[in-house]
Amino acid sequence: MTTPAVDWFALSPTLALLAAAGLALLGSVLVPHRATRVFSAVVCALGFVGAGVAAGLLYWKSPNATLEVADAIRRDRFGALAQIVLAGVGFLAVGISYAQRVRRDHIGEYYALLAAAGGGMVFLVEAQNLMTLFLGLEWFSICLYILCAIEIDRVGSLEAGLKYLIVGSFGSAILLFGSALVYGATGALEFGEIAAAIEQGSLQDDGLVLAGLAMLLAGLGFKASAAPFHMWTPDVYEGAPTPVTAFMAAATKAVALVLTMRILVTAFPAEEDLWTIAVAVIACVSLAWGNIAALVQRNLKRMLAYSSVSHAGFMLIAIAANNELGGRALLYYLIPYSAASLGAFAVIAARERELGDRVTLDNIGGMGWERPTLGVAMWIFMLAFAGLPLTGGFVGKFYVFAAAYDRGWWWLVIAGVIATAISLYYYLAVIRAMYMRMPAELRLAPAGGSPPREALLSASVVACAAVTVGSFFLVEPLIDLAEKAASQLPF
Amino acid sequence: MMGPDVSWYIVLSGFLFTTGALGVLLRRSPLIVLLSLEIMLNSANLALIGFARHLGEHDGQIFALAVMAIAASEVVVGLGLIVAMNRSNVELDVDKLTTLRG
Amino acid sequence: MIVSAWICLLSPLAAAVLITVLGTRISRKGAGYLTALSVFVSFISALVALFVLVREEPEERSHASTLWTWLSAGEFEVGLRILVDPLSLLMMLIVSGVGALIVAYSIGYMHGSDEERRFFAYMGLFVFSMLLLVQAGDLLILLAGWGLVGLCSYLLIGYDQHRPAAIAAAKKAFIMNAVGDATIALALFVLVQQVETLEYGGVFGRIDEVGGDWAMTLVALGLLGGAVAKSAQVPFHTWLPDAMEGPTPVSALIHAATMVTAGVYMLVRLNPIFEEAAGIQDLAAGIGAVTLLMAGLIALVQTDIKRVIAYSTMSQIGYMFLGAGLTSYGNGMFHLMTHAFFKALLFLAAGIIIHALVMEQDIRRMGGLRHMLPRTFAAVLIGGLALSGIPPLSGFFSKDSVLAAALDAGLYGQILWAAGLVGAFLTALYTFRMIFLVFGGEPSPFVREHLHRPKLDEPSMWMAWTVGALALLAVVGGWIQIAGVWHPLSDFIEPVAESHVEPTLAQDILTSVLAVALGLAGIALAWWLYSARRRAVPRLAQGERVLERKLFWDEAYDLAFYRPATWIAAYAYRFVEQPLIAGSIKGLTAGARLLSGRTTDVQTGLLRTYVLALGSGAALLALVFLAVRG
Repeated sequence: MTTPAVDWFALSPTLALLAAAGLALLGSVLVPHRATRVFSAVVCALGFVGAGVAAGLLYWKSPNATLEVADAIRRDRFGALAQIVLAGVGFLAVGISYAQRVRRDHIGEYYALLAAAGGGMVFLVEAQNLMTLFLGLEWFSICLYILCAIEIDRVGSLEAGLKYLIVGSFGSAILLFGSALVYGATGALEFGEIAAAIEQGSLQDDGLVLAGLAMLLAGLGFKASAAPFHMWTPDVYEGAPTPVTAFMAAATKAVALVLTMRILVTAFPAEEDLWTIAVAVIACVSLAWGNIAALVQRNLKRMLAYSSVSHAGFMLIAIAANNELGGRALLYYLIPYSAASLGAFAVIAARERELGDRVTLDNIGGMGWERPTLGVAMWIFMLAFAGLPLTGGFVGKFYVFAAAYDRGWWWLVIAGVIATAISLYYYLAVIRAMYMRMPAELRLAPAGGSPPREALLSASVVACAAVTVGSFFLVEPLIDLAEKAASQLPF
Repeated sequence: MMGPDVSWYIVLSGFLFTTGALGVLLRRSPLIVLLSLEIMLNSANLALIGFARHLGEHDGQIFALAVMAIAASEVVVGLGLIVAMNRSNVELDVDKLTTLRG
Repeated sequence: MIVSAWICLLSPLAAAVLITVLGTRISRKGAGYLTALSVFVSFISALVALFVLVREEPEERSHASTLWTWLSAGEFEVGLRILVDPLSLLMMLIVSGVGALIVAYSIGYMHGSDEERRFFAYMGLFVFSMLLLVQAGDLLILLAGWGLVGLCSYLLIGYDQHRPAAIAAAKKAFIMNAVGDATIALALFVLVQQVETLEYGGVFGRIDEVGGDWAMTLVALGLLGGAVAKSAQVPFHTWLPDAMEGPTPVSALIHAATMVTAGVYMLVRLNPIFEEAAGIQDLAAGIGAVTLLMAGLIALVQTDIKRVIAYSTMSQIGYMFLGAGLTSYGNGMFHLMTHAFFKALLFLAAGIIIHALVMEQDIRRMGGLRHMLPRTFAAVLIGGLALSGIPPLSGFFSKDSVLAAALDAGLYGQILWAAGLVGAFLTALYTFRMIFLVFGGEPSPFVREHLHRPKLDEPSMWMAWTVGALALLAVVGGWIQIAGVWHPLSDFIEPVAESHVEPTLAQDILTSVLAVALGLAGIALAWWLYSARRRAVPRLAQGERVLERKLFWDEAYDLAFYRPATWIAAYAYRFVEQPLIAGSIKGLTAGARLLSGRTTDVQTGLLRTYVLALGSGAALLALVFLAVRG
């Protein structure tokens, strides 16, 4: 038996982030105490830049999809485009995190874990067999468990970490058991071989395959926080440090959905009639649950958590469509959605640091006037979430609906439109709260005066807003990229 | 090939998986919950190894080895969290972890 | 050349954005200079484009350029696409040239008023929107420009936010124009459905494929609705006189020289569509004739100097509609151009008078100004003569060529020709009524008391030289085309819009003689009635009252739309809205809140609930899968 050839280029985004993680960890030991924050943040940001550049090159140089490293990963544009999005998310997350009050001796670890989680994610979107799938999933999940709980002096943070860990491990165990069942039935780990084995052995009705598929779906739905597997989401989003929440909301969901599409399309084309319906139903449940639960939330982080559940529903519509249009729609949707999520949580983080308290609809009042840049940006993000024009959210929903319609599932389109209408209520409530209430009405709880305005955070927010709006105006090139990427999946 | 049929392994692993799941559902101590999670992961390992043996391939066994490593690191993180909670005087009872809700 | 066309388009936008972003960091006057400069840059760019274009073969003078494509679905593309050809270039030159002069004039006129920056930002935005309209490479961008100029018009009419009249006028203009925008949008829906593209070339090439006359008629009718609303033709004309509430430079730029002529531009630009629906084209010509007569009559009794000029604008656009409707595109555009010169001149000169008389606009209180404002008098006289079509001023050449073309267009054309001649008489009459009342006779008590002689300071100089430049244009502007002898302008437009009427020299001469004679008769009558001797004007009390009420159009609209609408609204509110809608919404909200509360009840914060949901979800999925296949 020979050692498999390793395509280092295909792994380069992962390697860049792993190197950054290692360096940041080393830095927390070797670099003088005063400089650890700057050092580790810069190293982490550079890691994400490196990963983004590498992923860009990978996209450019992979006109044809190939299986690499003993067929464990698939080097294709679908993965590369997702990697670019993830690298962007990670980079901006560094800017948002910079001024977060993390205990000084944890700063190096914080950025190391951020880079490592990013590494796991960019690895995972290339995964092409059940083993790399599980490894990648756990890789970034474990990093996130720690990140959630990194503010160990705060009970909420610890609680979020432990809840995420336990429910997450439970989900992983389900996913792993499902993988084992599929492996047992087909004798294959690689997605393409699984599809071939099901096809050749006529295993469509095999109990092991069916149960395995269901468990895989549940495990992935958990990571994407699709209802009814979403229940951890609001608690963890609320308890985790806000920059971590921002990163999770954008990146975890992106990874989980991209992977769901990849595995379903590549490994289970023979079960298409089953999983498309299942995904469509999960999408509808997510839309309904996420939107309805968001209606009564006063805590902004919880509200956005439920909103992220409903957006998982929108993106699942694209997956349920099971066509190239759906692939294109999913990849495009991720761009404005990630930018808007990151940005919205960043604005919340800014307010949180001002008040030293959790941000609710009541105490965000007047922020639009006090910090006009952040106010306008938040406005943009909410419009993007609601899918209104002049933001990429509009185009994203348009493409998602187009994909569902193309499949002939107009009822999914109707569900999506109703969900959009409901969501306007709570998204606009945020804008109203920011602008329509005078600060005089408020009982502010300032934490020792107003903190200095953070240039990095503002810059990240502006960048997010620029992406959100820019993705509307630059639809054509972006959708072109997404189309090329989606065409490499075997629809 | 000697030994029991593969279906026995599957039944056993299914039994273990259910046991673990029930443990997570029913027990209150986070330590026991972590233990139950380990049982779930290991039941999957058993299934993987059983299948690999049945199919006469190695990749399932390699998978199982990787899973063991991951399970170990998960437990490390979990134990670390439990220690941190203990230090912050949080009662070690998963039913009391309800400050985040709604 | 394409580059210069883009510069032409984007330069005023850049100025508007810059002023907005800089806020108070730019001085008030600086904002004016910036906008004027940007529009002047546009004009120079348009000139450059012209020089490049005329060197090409006439057939090749059409260049499309797409800055970026926003969306494409099959052949249907949405993007920022412009088209540079003789027609759009002519409009670019008029818009940016006259626009630059008027913006420069505003530096003086607006000096010292509040919020000058806002004014100039709006002006920059308007010039951009108008250029977008004329440079548009497809119907969607045309519609975008169409809507944007309507918005700018709204903003500028209501510029003086403290006067309720200005606000009301702004709303009226916006709503009337919105009706037109809507009919265009509907026409575009039908068009896209029929030919699957909105790009000019594509549409014109596929007009034959349109199934059924009704579709073509519907499209043309919808487009005409927009043109009529924008150009203040009957029956959508009532907003234009009210729009005079805006500052005078706005009236000159938007409501005389450029925006209101957009309807004519559309008739010419989309001529293949209108020719396919010939009935609609005739309708356009008829609307023009009706409007020019009606506006001429109403103008006879108006007392507000700007409203007199506004009605004359309506009537002159009527001539352009008449020409464009009878396929005499070149002459219609020619009249559009000369009209832009002399009408802008008249408005700007009126602005000087209004300025000098502390914002008084009632001509009955004026009089004898010829001695006090001699140069302004000269300017108004040039404008008035040009408007009345007296040779050798510009209006003579363009108006007469439009009328002569009508004579060649069959019986229908001849009827319209006669109406146009009557209109020429009315034009001269009301124009010189205004001139004699304002400038003739002895200074009125009001004038003696309130006149401020313009000081020769810097702001006034801006007003003076721009009016002088426009006066020059109003004199010589018509010489580039002399009916029957030489017609470079029509030839220039020919590749885009081919005229189907070709009047003979005899028809030209007949028309000119009659029109000039009638014009002179009108002046003579005005002199006899309103000159120094101030005869008792024969009074037709009833008729005059009808005219003073503007033929009851406003009342008719009130009766036809407003009253029924409020009535229906009141009843609908009482019997539908309150019990049904409000009730059901209350119920729905309560239901949603209840449901929402339930979902949060499920979210107990207990780990075991979450694990249970996850586990049972997975089990349920597996069971369903097995059951379906089992």
